[in-house]
Amino acid sequence: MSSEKLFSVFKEKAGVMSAQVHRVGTWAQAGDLIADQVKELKAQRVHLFSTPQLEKTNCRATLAKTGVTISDKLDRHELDITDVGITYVPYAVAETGSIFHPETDPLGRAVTMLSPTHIAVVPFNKILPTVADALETVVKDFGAVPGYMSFISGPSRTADIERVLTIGVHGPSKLIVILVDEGV
Amino acid sequence: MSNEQHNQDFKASIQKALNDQVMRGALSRFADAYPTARKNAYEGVDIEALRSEIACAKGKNGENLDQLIQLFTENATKRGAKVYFAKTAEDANRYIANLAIEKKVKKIVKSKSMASEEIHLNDHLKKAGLIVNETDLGEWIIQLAGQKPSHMVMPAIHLSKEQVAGYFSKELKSDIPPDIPLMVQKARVELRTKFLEADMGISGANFAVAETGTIATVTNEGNARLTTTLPRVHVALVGIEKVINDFKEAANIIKALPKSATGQLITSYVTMVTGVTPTEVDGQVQDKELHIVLMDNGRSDMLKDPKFKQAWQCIRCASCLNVCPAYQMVGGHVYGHIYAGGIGAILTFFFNDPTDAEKPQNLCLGCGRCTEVCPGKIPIPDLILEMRRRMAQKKGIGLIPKAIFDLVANRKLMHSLLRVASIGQFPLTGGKPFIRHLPFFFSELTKERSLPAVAPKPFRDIAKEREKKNTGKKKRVNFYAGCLIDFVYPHIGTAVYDVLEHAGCEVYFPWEQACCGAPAKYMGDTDSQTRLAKQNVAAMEEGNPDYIVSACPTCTVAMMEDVVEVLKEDPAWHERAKKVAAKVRDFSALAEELGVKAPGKKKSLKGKFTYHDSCHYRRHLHLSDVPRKLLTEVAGMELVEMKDSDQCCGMAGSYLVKFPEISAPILQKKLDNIAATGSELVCVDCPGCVMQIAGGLDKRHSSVKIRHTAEILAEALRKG
Ligand code: SF4
Ligand code: SF4
Repeated sequence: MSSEKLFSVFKEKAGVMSAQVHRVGTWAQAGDLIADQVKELKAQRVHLFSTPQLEKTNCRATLAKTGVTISDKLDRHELDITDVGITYVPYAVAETGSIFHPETDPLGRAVTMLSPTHIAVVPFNKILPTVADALETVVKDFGAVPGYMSFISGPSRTADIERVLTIGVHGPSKLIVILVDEGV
Repeated sequence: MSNEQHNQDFKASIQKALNDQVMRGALSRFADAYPTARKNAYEGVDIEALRSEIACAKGKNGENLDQLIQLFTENATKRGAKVYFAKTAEDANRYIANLAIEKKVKKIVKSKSMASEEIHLNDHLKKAGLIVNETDLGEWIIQLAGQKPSHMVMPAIHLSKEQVAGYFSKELKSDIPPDIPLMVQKARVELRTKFLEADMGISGANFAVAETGTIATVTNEGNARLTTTLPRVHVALVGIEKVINDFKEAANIIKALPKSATGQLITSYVTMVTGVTPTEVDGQVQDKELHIVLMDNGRSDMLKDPKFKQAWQCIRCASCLNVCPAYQMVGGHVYGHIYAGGIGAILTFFFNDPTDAEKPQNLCLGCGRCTEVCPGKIPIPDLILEMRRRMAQKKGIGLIPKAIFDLVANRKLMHSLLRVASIGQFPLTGGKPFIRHLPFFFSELTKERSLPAVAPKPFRDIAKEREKKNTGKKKRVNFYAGCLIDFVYPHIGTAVYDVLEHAGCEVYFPWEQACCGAPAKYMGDTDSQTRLAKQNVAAMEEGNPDYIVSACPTCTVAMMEDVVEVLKEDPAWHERAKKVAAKVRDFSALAEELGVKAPGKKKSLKGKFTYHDSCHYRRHLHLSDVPRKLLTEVAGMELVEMKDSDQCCGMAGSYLVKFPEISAPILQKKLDNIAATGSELVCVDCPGCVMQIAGGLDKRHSSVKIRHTAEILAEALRKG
């Protein structure tokens, strides 16, 4: 499948799972978009889990301009009170509209779990066709099975009361995926 | 508890469930939405290929269980996990409670795990002085309510938002309104604290991968991720049937499970944990402990059983419950232990206590709807029958059924009795074709439905008259009538003769034929079944026919499959049975094979009609398309499909005698779906369904007519 085709399937399926999908050309544009989204959300406090790829977006600087607080402490209690968690996620899966997050660092994981909004920056050329492909690729890329891996598809949801779909029960109520064309 | 007491309790629990409007509303809303959701979720997926792959892989996993467990243990251990093999529920409970004490754990959070419900883990932990909180919203509600889950995937589906608000208000000591988003937020806040403070997280697993030592959870809420990330000790309680080979099999389960469970493309989270990962406690990153408890608790007994090993193929998606007509009526609480539905009765039989499965297994109508959707391709109704057979062997089937089977096996006595009944009933029916009020113990049966009267002249007498014309020169067909056509609906038999004679056959009625044995089979009475099989095989050999035809799918299946199966221990009889079985056709299949085309004159027939798929007809004989084709070929007949045409009408052999209270609402649903098509005619291929549906229509004073396909064809041929 061509990467454009993969993108269109991903976008459609991610939409079915109620994730927001954006596509930008460069890492710098991703940084700007993060700042815009944070502003729009009227967030007060954000957290980024630092990785070299995420720093390439320069979002620390763009976020600083918005006046939002970027917490420097990273622990579970701090994460519990932030409004937005921002991470780099290395893969996406077209078939299910998921992002695929292998992450052993507990805080790298908690950033995706505890805040009401999760913004994920994902390289465009890492949209893989299927879940099976993702599992195969990750083992190849990492040389071993990562200790903790998650397929994340849309927000946290429940239908446990009267089958009424309700968003944001334990995890984020919003998942924003930003795909970046520029290579890693 | 005495058996009688047991019975009464069971009946009372069914009555309670049937009266629970909240639960029935929720279950029926979900059941209505599910088929479309499932279909959409599977769009673009070759679902049959996927089911075959899963069933086959899980089957193999069962065969290689010991190696798989060893491989899993090695790989998980290599990655720092401690793997404990728990033979019994007590072993698992003890290990986890001791571990908690040893690790100075005070507070525990749990994500959803049916295995932990199965062994009452929470009670054990509480007894050990630990504070345990369920964190899956549904499970937490159930915990607050002090109840049991009523569905494997949706544990609190039986509760209303008002009831939930009541439990929340009590727990949170404030007045919580029945506003769902607000209650979900309250739960988030309340449970978040518990996550942050817990020392131990207990999860289940949807599968465990041997090649990598990975355990995985498939969830929507995100509580399993928090449970497996935040606390310093993680315990995963995993039934050994969850161990699979590799990531390829894992990908298939991830593909099927959410789609089958709730009709979702995928769940919000699929989380895979391989070995020990670090956690953060008080700002310090440290390695956490991972304990994987592999639990047997009756599972390997199930696997060793030559029949029940098929249940190993279950991935616990609960789609069998989602389509089950009986479950839809009564919900999960009447199934005894933890696991509900047909598969639940089977699991309970092995994991818990056979006596707990004894009553609930009776709830199965044998309709086979579950098997059609099951990703593990498990023949649930066949396994239920096997269970029933074993129970009957052990305990006997009871005196009254025994006497009845002795009676139906005694052809002469049965026939003369029925003749007496046909005369004796006239005062009751007042000359009408239905018995409206039965003065004796069957009274509950007639509440929703009129019972048919016994025909004044059985079909066997009519057949003898017609056979006088036979020349012995044409194709010979032996007609197997079955009890209903013989004694209640002889006109269906006449129609069958009309159509087949028109197609160039001569039809005979072998006089020695007896009951097909299905009622005995459904009660687990193999002796009576075997006796009847021999009698019928011998009868049907008469005149060495070209075909043997039946117009009752239950009888067709009995003559085509059951006689062969039940006589397989006896080589001579087995051969005879196989020869007979090979000639057996259901009426519509033979009509098609013989190229019957009933033209009918334009407008001579009814116009709009709808079609009801009888269970055996569709799922054993796979004939749904044939009658639709034959009927729509008749000029003027226009098919309007009803909703859930393949849903059981509630007749199901002796079901309406055993559970009239469940059979009745199932019938009402069928009648509503028929009415909604606006057609004045409903066609079927099963006299049992004719009896059930005609009775319901009559009780409603409906003008809708019900006809067997043979009757329509015969009429069209007459008019054409
Ligand atoms: S029996 Fe089949 S349909 Fe039912 S839970 Fe198991 S896998 Fe799913
Ligand atoms: S055969 Fe029918 S009644 Fe029995 S468990 Fe399956 S769906 Fe339910």
